[in-house]
Amino acid sequence: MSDPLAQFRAVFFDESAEAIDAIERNLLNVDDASEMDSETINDIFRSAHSLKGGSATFGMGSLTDFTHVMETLLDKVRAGQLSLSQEILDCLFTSLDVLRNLVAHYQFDDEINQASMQEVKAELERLLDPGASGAPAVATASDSKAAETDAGSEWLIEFAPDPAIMMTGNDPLRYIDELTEFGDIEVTCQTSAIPDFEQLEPTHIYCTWQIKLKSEKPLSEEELKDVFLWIEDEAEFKFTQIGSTASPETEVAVATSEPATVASPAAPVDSAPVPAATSAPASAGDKNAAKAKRGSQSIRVDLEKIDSLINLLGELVITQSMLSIYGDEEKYPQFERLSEGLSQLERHTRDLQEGVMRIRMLPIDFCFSRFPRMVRDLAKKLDKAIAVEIIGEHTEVDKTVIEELNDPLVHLVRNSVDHGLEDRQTRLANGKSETGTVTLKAFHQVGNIIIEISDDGAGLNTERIKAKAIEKGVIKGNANLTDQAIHELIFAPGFSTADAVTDLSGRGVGMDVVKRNIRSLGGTIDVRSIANEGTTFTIRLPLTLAILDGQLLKVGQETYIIPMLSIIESIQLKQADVNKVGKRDVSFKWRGSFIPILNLAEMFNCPVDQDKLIESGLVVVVESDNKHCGILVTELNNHQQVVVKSLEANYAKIEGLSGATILGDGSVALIIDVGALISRVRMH
Amino acid sequence: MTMAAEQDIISAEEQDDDQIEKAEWLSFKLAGLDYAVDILRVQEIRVWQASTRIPYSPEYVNGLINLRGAIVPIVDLRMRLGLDYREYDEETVTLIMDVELPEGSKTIGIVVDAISEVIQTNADNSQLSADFDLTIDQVFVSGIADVGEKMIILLNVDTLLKLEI
Repeated sequence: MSDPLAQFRAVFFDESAEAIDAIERNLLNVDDASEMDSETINDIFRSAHSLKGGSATFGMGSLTDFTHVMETLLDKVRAGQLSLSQEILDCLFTSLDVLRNLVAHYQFDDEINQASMQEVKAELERLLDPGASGAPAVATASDSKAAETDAGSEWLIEFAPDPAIMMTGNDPLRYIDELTEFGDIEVTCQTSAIPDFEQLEPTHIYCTWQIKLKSEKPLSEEELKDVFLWIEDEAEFKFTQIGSTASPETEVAVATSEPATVASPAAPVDSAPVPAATSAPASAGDKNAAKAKRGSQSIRVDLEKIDSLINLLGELVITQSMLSIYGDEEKYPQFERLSEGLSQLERHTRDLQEGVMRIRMLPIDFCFSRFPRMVRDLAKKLDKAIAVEIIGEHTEVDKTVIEELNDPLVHLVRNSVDHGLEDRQTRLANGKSETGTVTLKAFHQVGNIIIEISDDGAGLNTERIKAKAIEKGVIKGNANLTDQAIHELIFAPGFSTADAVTDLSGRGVGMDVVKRNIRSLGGTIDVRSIANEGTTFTIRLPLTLAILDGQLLKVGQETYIIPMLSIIESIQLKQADVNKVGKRDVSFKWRGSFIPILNLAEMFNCPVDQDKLIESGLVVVVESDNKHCGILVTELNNHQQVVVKSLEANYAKIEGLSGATILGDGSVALIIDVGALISRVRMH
Repeated sequence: MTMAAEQDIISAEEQDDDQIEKAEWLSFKLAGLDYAVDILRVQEIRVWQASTRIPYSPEYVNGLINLRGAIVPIVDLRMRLGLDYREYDEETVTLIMDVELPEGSKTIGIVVDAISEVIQTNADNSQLSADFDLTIDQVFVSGIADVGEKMIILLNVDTLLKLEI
């Protein structure tokens, strides 16, 4: 698709469908309105909140407006200002239908059911403010009534089916019946064409119908034609709009099929009958387009299924490499055809493996790239100057992780923009550049995926957080807390410091959801903040399944893998360049500074001839956290993509290793955790 | 003996059969002695295959193998039980075991000299006395089975493979 945002929108539609279902499930679980526990109402609230956040990101105004009202109501219920009556419950259910309609509107261009949306919204607003129940409710109701008449439409449809239509298996009455979905119909049957009994052909239809359709919402001619799409060649139609409130869409439709009508302004739109034949192909085309749109959605697959596929593929790769031994042409020249087949098998297996892997792994860019646009819109709204910096967007992340990360990241970025970064004047007054920066950074480290969201704003306001926490009863007034401990209070449920509830944030739901989502992924989140320098949120997620670009190398006879990301270069050292302490190699000069030598063989106690290893002097220079060191290796092999497998699953975490992988020959190789190794070297 | 007494004995035996569950154990040889593990815990029996050494591992952990895409540690049972090491030969097999540990279930392999047979035993038949010197750590033993002439040491997989790492 040409629209770069389309993929994110598709994800949002999936998510919103889930959110709506979640709300419905929760509502359904409440038999008795008075017995709803706070956890359930919190859950409902969170779903609504996510829906609002997402829709605002994509500029789906109607959806945002509607969810905002809904959320405000839920917030009051949550805070105990309103008790959850059966009335509210019913209203929430009808709200869900409106939400579904709105989502479908943005997803498939379905018509918004304005009347019901206004009605439900008015009802929500009435419930919100029970004190002023009478007056505003009536006002809004009449407003919506006005909207109805404005938006409504009336059509006269003349329907003359081909006499032989019954022979094609179509029943005209069914189509008339279908029109009732749009509104009330009034049908008059013209029987004048019925011949004398002798001439009457019993399988033929001699009737024509005149149908008056009164709809509460605007109807375009296209929509009406869609009803008769199947029999457009077996019948004649005439659609005439009655009344003067033609919706703009109708005008457009008329304009395209009969330009003459529009050209003369005197001709009233409603009297322009459009021959069915001219616009029928167009409507068929529209229908096809809509179908294609619905068809190109993604499907959601159980991750377990993908996992078992991945494991099976691993087996296939191994079997294939086993077979390839017999396809060695030099050894077995008589099996030329076999070796041809095997090399094809190898190629296909590799493609297949890549394809399956790609199902699960996505660059974090998928998640990050929605933010520049979002921040831009927010910045405009808040009149702040904000730049977005993205680092490490190619870091591959498990699809599950990406899906689960979306909401937390939206919250964090919104918080940074809304609360973290100051406005232009304050920034200038504090001696900072006018433009604030939000940085999103992703990288692999110590067997984890780390995502940092940082801003160079004001930092967390320790005093205000503390005061608010005391006010909200999160901590006791006399609690003695360090600054860090106070900063962490922002993750407490129901905590919010924003004085005004804005469309952006400040309901105190964000951070608590963030922490919960991250924890459910088995990760952690922490915050570091320095006054007037900014705030950094660090999300650390375990690397359960990730693909790593790895350099295979040998230490003695053992194969290890170093992530390519950590490797700067590989060099051959001369003994003269190496600084020794006693017999031990300690460091060497590299690019103008001394860096330590790390003897992996010694560290991992590999069975290897140490003297020979040191003599060869083959060193891989690696980097982590801006620290460098040289790892002594026996030989370098090829580099390849490897699937990271956890050591903890059946064994335990091993110091200095981030996981293991299975090589082409089926053997296990260990993956070196450069960060952990370097930090250990420093300790020596 | 009267008829009545005879009948009593028969019914007592029947009762025994009903009440005491017979468990099946897979027995194997290790340093000349017979040992057995609960057969329900045995996932599969494999011929010995080379493993990848793990740094900092206890001596009895042989290394890691690839079991259909899963990384599975292999324990040398001789070393684990404190017996003498022996070179692996073509009779050496690896039993892949399901282990229930406090942190969750794991899959761990054990290397034994040679596999013998499936035996049936019941609680009656398996006895363990504290002063019986088995030369191996008592916590690994869940009982002794008496099968014909032989004594078979029944091993407790969960304590046996609770690795000190």
